[in-house]
Amino acid sequence: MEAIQTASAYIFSLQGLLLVVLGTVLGITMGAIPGLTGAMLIALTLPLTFNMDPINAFILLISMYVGAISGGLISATLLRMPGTPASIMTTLDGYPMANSGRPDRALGLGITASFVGGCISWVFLISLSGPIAYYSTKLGPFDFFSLVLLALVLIASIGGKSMSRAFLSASLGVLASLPGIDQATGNLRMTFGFEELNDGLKLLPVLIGMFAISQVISDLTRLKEKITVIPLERTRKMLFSLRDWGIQAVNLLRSSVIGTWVGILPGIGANIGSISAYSVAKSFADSEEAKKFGKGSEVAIVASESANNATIGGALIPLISLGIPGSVVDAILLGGLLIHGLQPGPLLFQQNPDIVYAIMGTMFVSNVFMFLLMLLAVRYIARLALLPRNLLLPVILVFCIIGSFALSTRMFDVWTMILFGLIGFGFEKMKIPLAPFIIGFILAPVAEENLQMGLMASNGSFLPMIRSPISLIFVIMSMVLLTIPLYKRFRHGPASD
Amino acid sequence: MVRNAIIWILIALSAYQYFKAGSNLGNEYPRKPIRVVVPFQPGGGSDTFVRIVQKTINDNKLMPQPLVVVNKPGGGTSIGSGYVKNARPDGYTVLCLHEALMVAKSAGQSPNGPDDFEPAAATGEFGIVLLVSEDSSYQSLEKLMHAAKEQPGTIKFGTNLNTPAHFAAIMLEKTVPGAAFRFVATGGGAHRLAGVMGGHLDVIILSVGEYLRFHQHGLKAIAYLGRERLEAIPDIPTGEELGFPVYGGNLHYWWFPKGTDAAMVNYFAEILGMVMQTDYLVERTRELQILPRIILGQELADRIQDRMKAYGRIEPDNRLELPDFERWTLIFVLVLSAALLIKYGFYRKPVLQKFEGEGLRYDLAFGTLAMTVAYVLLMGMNLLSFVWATITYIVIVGLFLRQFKIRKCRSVVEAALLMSFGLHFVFTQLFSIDLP
Repeated sequence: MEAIQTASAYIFSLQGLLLVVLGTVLGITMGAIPGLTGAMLIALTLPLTFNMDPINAFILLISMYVGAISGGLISATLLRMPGTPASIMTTLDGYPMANSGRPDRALGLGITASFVGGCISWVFLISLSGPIAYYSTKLGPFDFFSLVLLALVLIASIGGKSMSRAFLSASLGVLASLPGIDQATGNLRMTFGFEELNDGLKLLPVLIGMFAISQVISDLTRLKEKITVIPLERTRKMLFSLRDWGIQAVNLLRSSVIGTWVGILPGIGANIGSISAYSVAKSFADSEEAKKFGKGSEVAIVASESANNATIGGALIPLISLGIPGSVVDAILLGGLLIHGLQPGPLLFQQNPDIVYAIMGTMFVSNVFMFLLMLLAVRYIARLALLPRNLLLPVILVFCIIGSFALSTRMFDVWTMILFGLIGFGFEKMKIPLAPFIIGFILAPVAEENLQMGLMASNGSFLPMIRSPISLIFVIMSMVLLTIPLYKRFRHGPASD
Repeated sequence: MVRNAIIWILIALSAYQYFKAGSNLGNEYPRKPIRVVVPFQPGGGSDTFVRIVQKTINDNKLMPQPLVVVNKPGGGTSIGSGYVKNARPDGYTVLCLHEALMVAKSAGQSPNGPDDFEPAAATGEFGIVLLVSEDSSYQSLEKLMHAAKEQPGTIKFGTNLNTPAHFAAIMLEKTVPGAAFRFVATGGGAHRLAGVMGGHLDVIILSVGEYLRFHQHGLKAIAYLGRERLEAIPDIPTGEELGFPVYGGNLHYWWFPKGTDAAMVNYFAEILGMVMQTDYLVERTRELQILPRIILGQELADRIQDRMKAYGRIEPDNRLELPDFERWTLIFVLVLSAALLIKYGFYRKPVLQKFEGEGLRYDLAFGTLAMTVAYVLLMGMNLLSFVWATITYIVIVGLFLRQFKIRKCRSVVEAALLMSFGLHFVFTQLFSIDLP
């Protein structure tokens, strides 16, 4: 109770509210500018929060998260470019509707759906994470190891089109996490004589490289492409009418629940959430409505936008209750917890309840601000989406460099960042997904530490992995997830991708 | 017009700040801020202690220049200690690190040991306690040691390997011939706590400060490894009282790089002596259960030698073969890459698929990247400071991306000036982050 009071005192102070507004506005803006993503914004803001109070830092970061997922809808609708990957599905129906002269309607549907999706997933967040954290303190090292295995299998088998590419990406991530000190013995490994590698590759430079630098490189290659924007003249008919609520209620609820559950799955973020909700909504729609999908369907916009915002609350659940990131942005937030000296994992709830409640509270407050800001200021934000990118991109590069440097004031991290920027760009060209890499990179040390701890406690025996009932369940689930796609391919031949 | 005026006012203000900060240099040591390197994350025990010292010095103006804390965590502690070892011995860089420096050296984990530094002082003693869970069957140190002797290698002892705590545990084993624990590497204090609460570990070591923070979670302290009972935990017997004389007490040592002028080292030690006597420090350290002690001069040199000898006698052995993570990961990567290559060789599909959209401007992307590399090189080799490098970089890249249309250069110059001076101000003054 005390922690809830502390957290709300922080959020509802003048400074707290200013941070929420600042974070939400920056998030929406970055989300709306094509080529700049929320992951990038949050990774770049993280170094700035080093000297902030951790609670304030997380108020800012969570507001950015909420803003960024929502802002993508503006450019999806008006520019026919998803501002963030989360809004890909919105582009399919938002743009045609805007093009046919109803941009305000398209935006209005998206904004309200985003708000409702956020609220529904928030309810799941506050009701589920406490109990999960409580039960997970009972998990032993082998249980945790199996859970991480399951998480890696999940992201590889569900996340993308090609399972082999996703697995390659994940195992490269694991590989990148190995150099440095062996947690169990304290010995150095794979440093190739570089003293700077004694500490391994740091999360922040790797993240900034993979998500910001590679994105900037790819933006630069398309710098000369023309962007056309649909003018937004009136913003009157933005709110839902009573009739809208009646038509969309079931859709809203269903899409938000789908978004939340996809969010909970480790490493799979907002884009998969909205794709799933979109296709489910299509299969539930009557034939007349289904025909409109892709040509400006209201149901489709609502499904996509409520689901992608719902993944926020869902993805935060494993982050704060288990220390396992539910999406790429959560992976960055996990790094943020570590940088602020907080230990993610089941004990976060007991040791730093104020942070946990601040995260939960901010998600709600920021969601409300997002709704109001988008309704009132969408016209001005839409204009920001057209900032001159040839000036914006070098400025972002400077930010990336400072961000990596500030981590431990050494240039080595900056070179790491540039290297991983190139790797990320190469991944994109070869259609290898980035998310499994990051999740592998983050979860490998957790898996290794727990496995070593388990083996040291069991004197080298692997048996407890299948003797503990919880661990056994995770192992069986991973096996099933692995075999289903293989079995399908065996029967139907190789999938064409 | 208003927009332009605002931009130029901002530029002027931050440029003024930049030049003002550069001009106030005096003559006597210290002429500029002294940087304390803490080889741990912000927020941990060492970091908290150093920040209390920092606040004491800066608030009471004990030195003409402020103390600045720089965190260089990682690599055990070898990243931070290596940085200070290689720093210029000009008296403006100092390392604050407890006996982990000696343990890491004698366990062969870090090339940096006490011999690479000039110790100034050891301050702030903190102790460690042995903890079991409340329903554990080892409710006293005697019972624990008895069990460790009767069934050697079965009691699961959670500690990070090759740390002062691990070495203290090995010393404990040696007090009873034939006793042996099964050491389990655990990572941070929170993991250890979860382990003992969930019944996966039998006994753990925490610092007294950590114990006081967490003791309501069903933990029982069975011994305090210090010379005398501690005021804050009067009921907990010392190991010596119980017949197991092991002392795990540790201090924060202040190390200057080898070759630093002795006058500077002594000056800093004197300042630390004053710090230890301020009311603020005494009060804050009492909260954290750190004794505001200070060891100087010959006593310090003796203590360092004594501890190095004690740690040198211990040979930590890794008692269990663990699976080779590196090898398995490498095999996995190779198999998957081979699979992908075979797949595309077999179906004759290009691995590099043609990208959607024509006319991608790789020249712009890689040109900018090359300039970025040059920019980082210039700063990395200390040829240009952040401000001037950034101005040059943004002007050149901005013009390059606009295909050198001079007509549009005004906004480029504005952005360059605003970014360089402005960011310098924001980062160094507001967020106190060092820039190259």
